[in-house]
Amino acid sequence: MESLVFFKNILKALGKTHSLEEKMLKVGLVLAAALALMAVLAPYIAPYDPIKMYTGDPYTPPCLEHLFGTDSMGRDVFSRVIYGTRSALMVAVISAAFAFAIGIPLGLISGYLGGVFDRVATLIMDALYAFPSLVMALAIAVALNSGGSASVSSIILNTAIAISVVYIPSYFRVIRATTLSVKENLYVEAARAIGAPPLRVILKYIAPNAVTPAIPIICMNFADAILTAAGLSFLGIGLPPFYPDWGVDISKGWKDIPNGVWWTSFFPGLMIFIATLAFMLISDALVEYLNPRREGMRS
Amino acid sequence: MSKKILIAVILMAVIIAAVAATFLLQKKEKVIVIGTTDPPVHLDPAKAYEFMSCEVIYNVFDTLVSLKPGTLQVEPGLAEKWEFKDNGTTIVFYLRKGVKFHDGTELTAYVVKYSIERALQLGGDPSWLISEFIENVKVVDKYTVEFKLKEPFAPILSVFTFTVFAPVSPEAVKKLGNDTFDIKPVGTGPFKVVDFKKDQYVILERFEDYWDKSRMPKVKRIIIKIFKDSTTLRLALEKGEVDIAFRHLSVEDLQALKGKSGIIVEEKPSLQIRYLVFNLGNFTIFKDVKVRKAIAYAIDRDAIVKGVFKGATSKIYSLVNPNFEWCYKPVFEKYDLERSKALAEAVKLLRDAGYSEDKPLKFTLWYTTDHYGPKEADVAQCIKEALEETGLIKVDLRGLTWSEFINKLESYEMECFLLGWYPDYVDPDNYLYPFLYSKTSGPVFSCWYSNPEVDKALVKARQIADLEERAYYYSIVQEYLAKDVPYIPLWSQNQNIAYRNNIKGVSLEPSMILWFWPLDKS
Amino acid sequence: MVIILLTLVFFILRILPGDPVRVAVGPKLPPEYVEKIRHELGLDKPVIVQYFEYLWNLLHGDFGKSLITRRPFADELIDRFKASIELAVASIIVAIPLGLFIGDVSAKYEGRPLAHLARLFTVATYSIPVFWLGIIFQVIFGIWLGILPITGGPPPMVKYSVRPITGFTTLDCLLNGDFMGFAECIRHLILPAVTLGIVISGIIGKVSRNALVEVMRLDYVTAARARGLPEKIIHDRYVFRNALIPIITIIGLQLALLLGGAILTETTFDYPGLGTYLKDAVLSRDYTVVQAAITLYAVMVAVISFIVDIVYAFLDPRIRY
Repeated sequence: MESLVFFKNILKALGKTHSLEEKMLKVGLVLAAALALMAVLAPYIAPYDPIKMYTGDPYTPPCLEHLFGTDSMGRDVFSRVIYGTRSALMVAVISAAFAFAIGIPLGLISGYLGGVFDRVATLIMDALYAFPSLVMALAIAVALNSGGSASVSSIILNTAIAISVVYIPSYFRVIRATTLSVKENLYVEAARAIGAPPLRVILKYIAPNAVTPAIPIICMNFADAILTAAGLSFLGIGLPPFYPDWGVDISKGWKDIPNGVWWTSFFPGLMIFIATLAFMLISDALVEYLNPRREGMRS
Repeated sequence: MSKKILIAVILMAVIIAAVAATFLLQKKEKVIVIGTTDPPVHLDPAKAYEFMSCEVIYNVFDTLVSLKPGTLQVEPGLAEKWEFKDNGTTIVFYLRKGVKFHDGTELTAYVVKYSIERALQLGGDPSWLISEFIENVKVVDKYTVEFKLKEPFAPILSVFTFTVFAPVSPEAVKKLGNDTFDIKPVGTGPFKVVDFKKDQYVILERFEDYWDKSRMPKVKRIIIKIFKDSTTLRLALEKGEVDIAFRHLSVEDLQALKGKSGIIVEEKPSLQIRYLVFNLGNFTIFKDVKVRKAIAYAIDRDAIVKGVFKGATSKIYSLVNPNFEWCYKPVFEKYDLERSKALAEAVKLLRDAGYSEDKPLKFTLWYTTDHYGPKEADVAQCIKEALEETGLIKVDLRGLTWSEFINKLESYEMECFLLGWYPDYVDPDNYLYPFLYSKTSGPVFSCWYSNPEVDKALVKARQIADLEERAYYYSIVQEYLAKDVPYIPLWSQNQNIAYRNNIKGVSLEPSMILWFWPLDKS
Repeated sequence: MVIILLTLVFFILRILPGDPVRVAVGPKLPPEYVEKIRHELGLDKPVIVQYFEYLWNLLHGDFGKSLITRRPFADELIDRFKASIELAVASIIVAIPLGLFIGDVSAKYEGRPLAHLARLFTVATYSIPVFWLGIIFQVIFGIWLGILPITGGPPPMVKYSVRPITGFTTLDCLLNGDFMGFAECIRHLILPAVTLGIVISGIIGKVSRNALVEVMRLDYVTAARARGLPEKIIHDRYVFRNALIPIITIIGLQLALLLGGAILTETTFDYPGLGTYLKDAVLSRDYTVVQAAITLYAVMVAVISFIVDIVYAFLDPRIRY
């Protein structure tokens, strides 16, 4: 399949040039893999239960027993940070999946059908695309979470959905553009053979062409989702305060700072940074590879 | 090109720094800044029901009678004297003469009648305090006004101290309209409102023609600045950006301030109560009193008061606030046994009720995440852990924002939840009647407690004036409270205030109102 | 576009479970009272009727009444909006030079360590959570050094005593000759603007780098080089100026997103702008305010996109209408 060749090419080309892109990609992939492992293996890596109070004295600074110290109720920050990877990645994956699942088919249909449907869909997508993601996510997250029926998993789901809405247009555009260009080419061929190209044929040609530009978008989606989710929980929308989540911990930890307790907010923030950075690096490196902008290189 | 940009950036930074530094040259005028995290919402007495709104109104308006500073007793306010007639169903107030509003108009009995009827007609949140007790208002002559009550009510004078009874200027209302009057009110009080930006600040200025010369404000201007959390408020106080920090400094911030030089911290008991509510109407799980008693035993108040609040609160053992020494009865103390004994009792009761390790008592404890401060989640967790220590209880915690919490409360969907109460009028009646009277216990508190003996005692107690007799009836009610356990009283938050040591005149009142007129800055 | 978003928000908020009026009023008061308020706010009419009434009122500048205060809130809304604009402008003033500088460096020194550093800077600043950065700055400059205020907009006395000419406090202080007030305003703007500015500069840096590199390999640049023009003039006159077009386009779009990302910055610094106003309304379920604020955002985005289109058309000689 073309995509496999594509991946092999990336690795080969990047391996050869020792460029910044290669380094970025490598670092990004390693970090992302580490995060994924952390999330999956959390119960085995974390030394304490992240919710349990008084695992140590409150406000213990970082030490051997508590690598990142403890918070106001004696909860271990290191464990909380590790477990926090779960909600962050879950939101990222779900929102990307959701946006993908809605954006791709819509883009496909829109490109294929054209006409009024296409115009209306594009209009709505453009509107969504330009809108500040946090604002939209805020409104939707509150709307969905408002029942107070709130179990943790449903809150995570709702947050993911809220974030995904702003990403649907990105996938939509990519697929639509691909569909349109494929359609063009096929119609030209079909015009010669006289007959309209069936949907199956179009799909066969679209898939490989769509994968390439879609991947950096997925990575960007991940990065943005982690950042926005942290932002939402920082604002107080969503998860309950004792649940280990990076954004929640920062908003709680802020009040500890004037008392000299910096570790309750510093480490969660650092994690958000690292996690977002990981996926941003991957995304940037891939984009760069696909559209190289290097002086002296002719496309 | 990039060099040019770099130079531009550096130049800009230098200029901005210079501009910013000029603030150091600023002269300081004699203004007192009060910082708070509790924002006023309405400045119209007819509409205000939140604490801070009333706090401002108490300093901008006067009431016919007010609470004597330092006590919970009633003293003359705009009314020089009063008398009860017709077996306590009528009160006549004799107003002071020559009292002026901020806009120069005069206070008369007509204005009082107008204000009361306006509050009723607008039907704002606090208007029920009028419609509940007052039958009608009559002007007897220019400075005499008569209120007919629906029935004799012993605490009625303390009801009259509430802000909704404060006279407003009819001229001002006519000129500004109700919406603007809510932001730029006109009263008779020692301060007038100069500007109000919701969630940002309120600016007050001394009213030079205030009628009570013994209570003329010492400073010309007071600014109330609203902060988003305790930490920023405390930092502002430390830096001197704010002179007084009032409502609500967190426990940690208060502790930290206690040691700081230049800052004075004061703490006193408040009129607030915090408690657990059992929904006896819509859920069967708590119908068995053994279950409720078991929970009363298993709950650990120390974990909350010492663990979560680090001593900034006090345990309470009745719904009546302990400040009412003449009638407070610590009826729940019998449940507050030494921990292992208490747990044993709880376990016994639960087994009797049919629960076991395999079939534990399962319920959801609801709480609100923002209204009572950020520690509420920790309190909920404390309660959960205390109850689960019995081994026979499983608690599921659910936290909601205040908005969502109110919704659930109104629809009576929560089986067990944490709530708080601050009195509408300063009398034990307000701590027992709404909670335990059969007609209000359900609709208002989602508790649905109903006991005809309690109803009788409550009604009797509010009609008699004699304190000893009232205390007798209230002790009956409180005993039932501990016997039937529809609520579990838990703790009461201390009120506190922190201020810079060059500020004088600060005093924490039992009524929890901070008076601005004595404040001074040296 | 505005209409679409408006409609979406309007109906989403109406469909929600829970009674916003009861929430606003509190639990103590009787149901008849709640009904009265509902009627007063016009919330008991059928949804479709409410929708058209709302649109009609909007055209007349009437945003309706807040559910919490039950007063008209248009004044508050505009006041907060202007404060947000002040912050946005200040942030852009920080972001653009910084971003252009970084982009320029990474394009000019292509392939060398300096450029790599610049590229990494752009990726890093975009990944950093703005509230974390904000807190760090607050700690350093507000707590440790104590030279800048930690939170808030212009202090109350400044806001109150300045004569409102434009409604933008900073500007008004200048116009009134209130230099002290102006200094205070600036002091309170520095930290939030720098925080937000740094985060935005990353994107600007990335885009300007791409645009510059793109232009650098165009034919006419090679031709100029072949003619023997000094590199500096090539860079300034040909490369930079022509790259400006896409850069400006992106900056324009960023301004719109700026207003959104500003919510987190405003919250961290407790800056009294549209962001905190929206957040408070959302948390207290003040639906009318939420609706109005989101509508305002949508309008801003639309207006800016429009302006960007015009500027673009003006600058690009290839597009002529």
